[in-house]
Formats: sequence, C-alpha cells, structure tokens
Amino acid sequence: MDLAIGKTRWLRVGALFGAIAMLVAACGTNQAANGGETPKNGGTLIWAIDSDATSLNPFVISTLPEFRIMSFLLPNLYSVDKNLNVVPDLADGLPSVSSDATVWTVKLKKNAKWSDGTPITADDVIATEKIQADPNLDTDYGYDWSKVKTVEKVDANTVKFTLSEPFAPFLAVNLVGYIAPAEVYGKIDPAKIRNDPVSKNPTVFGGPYKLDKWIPGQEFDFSANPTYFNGRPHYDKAIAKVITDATAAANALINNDVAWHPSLGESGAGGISKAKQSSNVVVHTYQDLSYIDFRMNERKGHIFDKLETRQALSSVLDKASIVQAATQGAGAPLWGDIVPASWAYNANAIVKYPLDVNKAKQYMQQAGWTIGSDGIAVRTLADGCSACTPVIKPGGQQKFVGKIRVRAGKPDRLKAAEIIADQVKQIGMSLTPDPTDFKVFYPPIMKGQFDVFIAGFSLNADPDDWSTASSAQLQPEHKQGQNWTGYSNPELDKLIDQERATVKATDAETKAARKPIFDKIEKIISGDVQTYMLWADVSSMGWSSNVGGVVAGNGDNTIYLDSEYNVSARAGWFSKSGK
Amino acid sequence: MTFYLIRRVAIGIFLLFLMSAMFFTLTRVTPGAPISVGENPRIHQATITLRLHRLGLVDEQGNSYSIPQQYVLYLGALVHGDLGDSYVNNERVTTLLMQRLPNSILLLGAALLVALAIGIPLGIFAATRQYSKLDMTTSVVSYVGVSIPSFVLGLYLLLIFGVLLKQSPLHWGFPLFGMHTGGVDDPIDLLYHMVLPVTSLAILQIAIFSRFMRASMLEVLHQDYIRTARAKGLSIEKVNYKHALRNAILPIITLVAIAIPQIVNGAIITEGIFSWPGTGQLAFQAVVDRDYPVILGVVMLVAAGATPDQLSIETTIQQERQLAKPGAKADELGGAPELGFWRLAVMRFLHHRTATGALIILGTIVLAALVYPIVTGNLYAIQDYRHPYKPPFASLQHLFGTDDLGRDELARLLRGARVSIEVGVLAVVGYLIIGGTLGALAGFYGGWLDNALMRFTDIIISAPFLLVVIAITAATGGVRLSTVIIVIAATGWYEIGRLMRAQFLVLREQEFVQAARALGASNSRIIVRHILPNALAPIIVSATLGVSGIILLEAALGFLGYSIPPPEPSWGNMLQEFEQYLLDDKAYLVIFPATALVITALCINLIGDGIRDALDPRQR
Repeated sequence: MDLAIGKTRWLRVGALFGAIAMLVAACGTNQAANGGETPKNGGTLIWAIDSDATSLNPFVISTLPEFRIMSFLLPNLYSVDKNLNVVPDLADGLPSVSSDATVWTVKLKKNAKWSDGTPITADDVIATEKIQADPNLDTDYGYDWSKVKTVEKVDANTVKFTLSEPFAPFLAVNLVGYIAPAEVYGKIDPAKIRNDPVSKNPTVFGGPYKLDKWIPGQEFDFSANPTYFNGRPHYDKAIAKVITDATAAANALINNDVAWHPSLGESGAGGISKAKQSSNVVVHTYQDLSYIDFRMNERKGHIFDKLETRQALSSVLDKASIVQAATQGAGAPLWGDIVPASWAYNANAIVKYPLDVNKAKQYMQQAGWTIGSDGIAVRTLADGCSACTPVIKPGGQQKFVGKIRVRAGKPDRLKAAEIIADQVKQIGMSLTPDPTDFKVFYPPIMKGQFDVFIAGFSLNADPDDWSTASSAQLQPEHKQGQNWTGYSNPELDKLIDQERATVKATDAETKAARKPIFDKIEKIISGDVQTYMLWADVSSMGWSSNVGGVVAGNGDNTIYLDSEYNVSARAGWFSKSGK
Repeated sequence: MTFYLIRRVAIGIFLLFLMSAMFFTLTRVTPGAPISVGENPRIHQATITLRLHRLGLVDEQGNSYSIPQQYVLYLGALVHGDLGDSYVNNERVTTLLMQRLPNSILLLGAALLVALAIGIPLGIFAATRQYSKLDMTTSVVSYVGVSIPSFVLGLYLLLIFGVLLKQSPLHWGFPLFGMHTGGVDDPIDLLYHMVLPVTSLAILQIAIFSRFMRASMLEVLHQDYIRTARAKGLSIEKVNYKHALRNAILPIITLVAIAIPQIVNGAIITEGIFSWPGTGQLAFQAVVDRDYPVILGVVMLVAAGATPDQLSIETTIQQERQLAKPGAKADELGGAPELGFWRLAVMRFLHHRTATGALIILGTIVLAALVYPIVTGNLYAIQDYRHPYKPPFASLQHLFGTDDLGRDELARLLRGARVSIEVGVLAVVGYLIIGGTLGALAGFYGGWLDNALMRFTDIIISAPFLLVVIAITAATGGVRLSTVIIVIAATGWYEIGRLMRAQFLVLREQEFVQAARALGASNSRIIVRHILPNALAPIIVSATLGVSGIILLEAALGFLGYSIPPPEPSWGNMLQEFEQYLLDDKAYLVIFPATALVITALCINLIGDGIRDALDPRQR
C-alpha cells in the first residue's frame, strides 16, 4: 500500500499511508460489545507500533504509525463510521450546503476544550486549513485545498468554506481530518515547521490522551486527557512500544507483552494464524480501503500497449487462486478499482475475464504477438519505440520481455509477482520480478520508464479515482498526478469530471446521484484493464483478551473503522483486570 | 611513547578523514535524493530549497553545490562534531546517534562482558586439561559457535524459547523482543529482556575467545619458565593461574579490539530481530530509507570507536590464525622424507578425521547441488501454488516438503546451496586476485603501494563491514548476485592482502631469493616462481576459511533482502521469507535453510583447520 488517496490519491511514504488514518469515527462505546462487562477506569494499554515517528507535528507527518500516534492526541472535525458514512466528531452535525453547491457551512460543538483549558473554536479549524493549504508548508503529505476559494469565521463555532466549483469529494476528503490548536501551530512559519521544537515535543492536545514522553526509537507514553470532549478514556495510561520486526510484534502480542497489535497483518500469514491459535488473543479481520494492483505501462510501443495484450493477461491468470496463494486469505480478489468496502462498489458493474488460456492465446495473436522458438512472444514494431529499454528501431522486432517492479519487504506482492511471472509464460510473456526498496521505487515509474509494477493504493472514504485514471493526471506527461500507466480515455475523463461535480443537498442524495456514474467508470476501467487489479486488503488486528469494549466490525463490505481510526471508540476500551 | 601516541591519533584522524571522503562520494553519486517521490507534489520550490539548504546540498538561492563543495561543508561541520541532518527523521544525525548509542553500548557491552566472562575461563580450563572431555567439548562448541551467524542463532533462540519451551517451566519468561517498557528504570526486567539478544551476540565471541585463550595458554604452558616454576615446587594452580595466565591473557586485549566491529556487524541484524532500539537498527533502517547522512554517521561512529592500535590487531590476527587450533590431536605422522611438501600435506589432511569427515559432508552437499538439477531439471522453480505447504518427510516425492508456492523444498535448498557456493568461491577468487596481487606487490616492492594497502585495510577493519556492504549493494542498484560478489570481493580482500604481504616481506629477504637474484632472475620470475609457491600455505587456509565467512555474509545479506532476489532461492532469502513461520507449524521452512547454512559453514571451517594442520611446517 504505497499510495494514499487522501486529499487526492498520492504516494504513501514508507510502507504506510496517512489518509485513512485521518478517518476518525465518532461513535461512542458500544455497550453491547463489552461482553456484558461494565467499563471501568484504570490500567495501562500497551500496544505495538511498527515504526518510530519522524515528527509529532500533524502537518509534517505522513506515515500510518505517525497518524496512529496523532489520533490519540488530536480530535477530528469529521470522522467516518464503520459503514463509511461521514459523521461529526468535533463538528456539531453534518455541514449545510448552499443551493449552488459551493458554500459549505460547518458548526462546532460548544463544549470542546484543548488540554490547556482553552475552547476549541472556528479559529482552530481555519488555522488548520490555512496551514495545510499553504504552498510553503514543509510537509511530505499531499494536502489539496485547491478547490477552496475562501474560509471564513461566521462566529466562534461556525466556519464557512466557499469553493470555486461544486466538488463532491470535499466532505469525505477535506473535512474529514484532524484539527490542531491555532495557538500553537498558527505562530510557526510553515516553511520552517519541520524543525520547530514543537514538532518533536507537542504541548497542547485535544484527543483522548495527552503525550507524556517520547523516547525516540522506543516508546510513546500517553496519559488520559480528563477534559476530552467525548469523556475521558478508561485506561489511565497508554504506551506505544516501537517493535519494528513484524514477527517480534506478533510474538509480543501472543506473550501478553502488548495488549493491542494494530498491524498484525504485517507479520504475515504465520503471525496471524499463530495469534488466532492463542487463547489469550482476539483477532479481528476486516476489509480495508486499500488495494494492490499490477500496473502496466500502456504507452505506445511498450509491451502492454494493446488492449488485447492486457485482455490476454487477464484471461491467463486465475485471480482467485493467485490472491489466495499470495495473501493466504489476507486479500479479496478485485476487478475494478473501487474496493468492496466502499459504498460505490457494485459487483454487477464490473467486467471480469474468466480463466481461459486458449482465449488468452487468441488475444495475443490479435495484438500481433507470435510465439518465437524460445517460447517468448515477438512482434514487429512498425514505428519502433524510442522510450523502451532496449530501444526498438522502426520496423524492428520486439520481444515480450519485461520486469515486474515490486516493493522489497512486501512478501505478498512478491509472491503474486512470482506466480504471475510463472503463469504468463504460457502465452509467451517473459516477466521477471524485480524487488526494489521504496526510496528508489517510484522515480523511474514517474518518468514512464517501466514495464509493470505491483503497488498498493489506498482510498479514503470517497471513491473518486480522478488522480489515477483521468488523463489530466497522466505522469510524466503532466507535472503531477498518478496516472502513470499512460491510459487515456476521453469518455472516462468526462464521467470522472461528472462524478466529481455532482453535489446534492445531503450526503445521501449525493451518493445516490454519483453511484450510477461510478458504475459506468468501473465498467470502462475493468473492461479496458486500465490496470490489472489483484486484491483488496483484508487487514488483521489483534487484542489481548483482557481488553474490553472492542467493537468488532461485521466483516461485510465494511471497514473496521472502530479499532483502527476511531479515537472515541479507543477511548471506550478498558482493562478487564484493571491493570 | 607520547610521540607514538600522537602519531597513532594523527593516523586515526587521517583514516577517518579518508573514510568520510570515500563514503561521502559514494553516497552523493548514488540514487535516493533527500526529496524525491513519496513526498508532497504541491510543495513550493522555496520550501524545498530551504530544506535542501539545511541539508547542505544547495546554496540559499537553490543552486546545487558540487560534490567537493558539499564535502567541504560536511567536513566543516564534522570538525564541530556535527554530522548534518537526517534526510528522513527531521533530526540532527548526532542527536539520533546519541539517542540510540546508549542502548547499543548496553547490549554490545553486555555481550562482550558475557563473552569474556565465559570464553576466557573456558579457554583456560580447556588448556590446563588438554585432550580431556571438557577440552574436546569446548572445541566442538567453539566450532559450532563460529559457524552460526548471530542472526541464525537469534532465530534458533526464538524457536527454542518461543515454541519448544513455551509450555515448559524452562521458558523462564524471557521476553522475545526488545527493551523494557519505560526504558532502563527496572533493571531486573531489563536483564530479562537482554538475555536472548545478548546470547545470540555473545556465542560467536565466546567461541573465539575460548579458542584463542586455550591456544595462548598452551603456548605459555610449554615455556621453560613454567617448567622451572614447577620444578621449584610451585603448585599446579599457582603456576597456572599466577604465572601462565598473566602472560597468556595479554593478547586477548587486542582481540577485544577486533571483536567490537564484529559485534557491531552482528548487532545490525540482531537488533532488528529482537527489536532492540540501538544504532544497528537505526543504521539498517537508514539503508532502507537511503538516509545517507545517518549511514555515514554510523560508519564514522563505529570507525572512531574502533580505531584501535591497528598494528597490534594485525599481529593478533596472525597469532589467532596460528594459535587458535582445535583440540584435536595433531597427527603424529612419520612422513617419509622423500615425499614432497604437498603430497605430505594431503596425506596429513586425510589422516585428520574430523576434517575428512567434514570434507565428505561438504562434498556430498556440493555434489548434490551439482547433480540434482541435472536429474530434476528446474524442479526448484516448478510451482503448485494451489496446493502449498506439503509437510516434510511425508512423501518421497517431496522429501523436505514444499514451500508457500508448492515448490519442492529440497530442490530449493540445493539450488540455494549452489548460490552460496557460487558466491563463496567466486568472491574468494576475487580476494585471491585482488588481495593476492596487491599483497604480493606491496610485500615485494614496499613503498607507497605498501603504505596505501595498509591504510586501506585499516579503514576496512575498523568499518562495520556488513553495513558497508549493504550500503554499497543498495546504492549501486543492488540485489544482483554479480553485484553482491563484486562488492564482497572488493571490500573483503584485505585479509588475504595483508597475509600475502607479510609472507612476501619475510620471504624476499631469504637466502634462496637472494640466490635467485644473484643468478640474474627477473623480479617477476622471483615473485612467481620462487616466492609465491612458498607463500601459498597460509593463503590457502585463509581462502578456505574465507569461503565460509562469505557464505555466512551472503546469507546475512539475503536475510536483509540485499542479495539475490526471489524467485531464485538462496538460504538467506529463504530465511527472510519464512521468518514469519518461525513460531508456526511451518517452522521447517526456517529450520532447513538455517541448518544447511550452519552445517556448510561448519564443514568449511573444519576443513580449513584440517588444511592448516596439514600445511603447518612445524608439524612436519
């Protein structure tokens, strides 16, 4: 999962992403899920975090562990519930939208306070927006407020956003996210924010916990915030222990050294199954909003430039078995780029290519490939390909040989690459897996110098796929964007623009109006194999059985937001033993 | 003495300077810029300039500094003890190092102390009771010790304490990871957390210390003054512990100096396995992130800390090679005088039972690795991904079971053996070509070449070798077997180089060389025909032992993901892939490659020692 579709779909830094971490839902504790036990205060929640933070400044951070830490400390304006509906957290009710769909008015709860006792007001919301929107802000995170013309304070508890045009993702993309104290961050020069002392040592908090101490590389110590506006959390203290080795973290959970391991899935099938076998551990599995795909370079002259070639690929691969073998159950096979967890998902709108090797061979012939004596497909390229490696002269022969770029340290993706490389030999494709460290993974891709790469993308609660599929987002053709495949389709562009501009008076009406457009989009993307989708992530989290108040997701088409992103729900956890 | 110290310090500083120049250049010409992808596309150029300026890469206007300019800036800061800013961590490198260093010193210091506390007495007992059961056991244990890399030992310990003993009272509650929650304010708990990582780091050093101590002690015990002391009626205890020990223990001090970089190497992986928040973990993450200022900082730190008296290290290495022999009794082989040196050596080797046994086992592995593919074709690559994880010893078809993609584990192990042997042999050939040539020339001609060679080896000895190799492999586009071989050969040849130089230094003054020169032989003829054949014996031993070192190094690289990439199997990348199954019923996927690795390294070490005994002229 490299790419976060936050303010827009953008690269995820490190192995992780920030956007989803900002979806903090606001549902309180679910009494029914407490196993009949009454929540009580006390105890320390020790949990595993898989890497240290590089900063504790909300505006600077960009990785999932960092956002996870931050979600203990700061409130959200809006959050997302487990059915992916946007729900108010710090806000008092959903925003009201003007009739021309360009003015969004947000009201805030009146009782909310920062840990220093000052109230949380419209000034904080405006300051947070201003800092995020500042082009001088030194951050690794891709904030995008370009649709916003003005932000105004109506009164102490009301903020008015005026947009340049109707923009449907605004609610789920821009209004869902943290709010930081203006008093602290508003005074810092955004260009120098990275190295400001407060970035290492935050002082004012508005979330369920306060940060007591950060021992770099080792742990984060939290204590309950008694003035938290949703009520104080049950645990007196929380400690996030940095355990970088995924297997070690799974061991720690099984040995009761930690009580919560949010990224249990990272320890692989071995870690998950071992945790499930342990009587002292409760594992919850939920469909995530991220997906993994096999993204081809479809520019003219490259091996996957023809639709038929991509259809051949789709027909020769047994997706369900590959996903099962590669992820060991931690992935759900996927055909379109909207994951089943999303409200816009429609299984009937998608074109699926069934496994049919003969058909695949026919597709290859139609695309002009013939199998050579060495078993590798060849074709004659009338125009040649100067951007290919090796360069092909006009009228020259091109062999179907390429590399599957895949992130190092991601065993499930590497497995998928190994199986695919083995299977496509049947139709003359010679592809070799090429594991690469993250820091050097994308530069050639962004220059259009690649054959195929396997990468992860993360959606947020809005299914908008503008940045990866619209031709306005082609890279390197345009300066920014993530449509690296070179795929361009005017019909698709029109549909995407339409879906983005559809805004109705209520969120439910907006969704209803956008859904049919998404159906058409998905049909094109899956039919044209704009990208060969592999799977939607199924994530696993583990808790000690001593942790009460954990609300499990229902596992059907829903992301299990309660545990991962829901600060208030976390405040509802308690220690059964009181320790 | 004062002058000597000043001179040493000056040389030390010069070395650090040289090393910083080498690494600085390396890191600046390789990919992985501080601001690259994964970062905000909308960021203003002015902000980027500000950040790059802070990192010493551009001036205030955003014009790039040339590499020499950057280096001058870096040196300027370095003089003030400033190692620059991390690319990733939004922090000064010195701050990061200071945060992590105490943890590493705690771990490494404990490992060193434990190794000394166990290794030295063990060596003394073994020496004073030569050929006893204890001596033999110590020898066996120490052989196994030097053949298990610390990370494999770490995995075994996790297996033992995490699975095998988990339900038993012997579990002792050792935590399987990291440091005590809350830092160091609960010493008892901290000790518990240290047990497994310290054990996995200390075993190798215990093996080395006990072997060395035993040899050193034996040497002293055979001295005349010991006999005199005994003859004068002193008790055995008094002689052993008062007279002999004092003299025997002296060389250990320099051995400790060599141990430090070795332990640091081990810690790079061990800290990762046990989630110990030290500099090793920091350094490895820095490689993954291409955080060059941090890598450079760690290399400099280790080098500065381990710039001991290089000369005494050199002597110690020689002594270690000469002395640290196994407890096996040297063969009393009469040897007909007309037999040639080499023939005699072969005969002597064949009479060395453990060595021949090891040779047979290793031969079987090599033969199987060569023959198996001929019989089974590319069985190692044939997938049955819909039916993975056939358990071992359940069917003849897949004797060792199958892996996660249903591939035959035995075929993959043997294919992995090929990789290990290929890397081991080719890299050693590289050692011989580079080290042999340079060493011979340096020893024969002396002068600037000799000086340059010695200084280069000084640098390498004090650098954390594993980190250097990973950094270079990662920086040069990495993960190709050829790169791995070249990098290992290019950085590891120094030992053979030094050995060759030492041989040539001695031999060029010998009478037979002077005789040849008097007869009008050219320099090249003298080098090739006269000196070289006489210099070979220790080189062969060193090369043999080098192979096992390289195989372990390659496995470590593979475990970290910086050797040959999958689907091609190597023991290292198999360990990496299946580490997650360590505590699972599929642990066989870890145990097989780990054991294959240890057995192979052990065999090669035993053979190496057999060869040493066989070639030792003192045993003629």
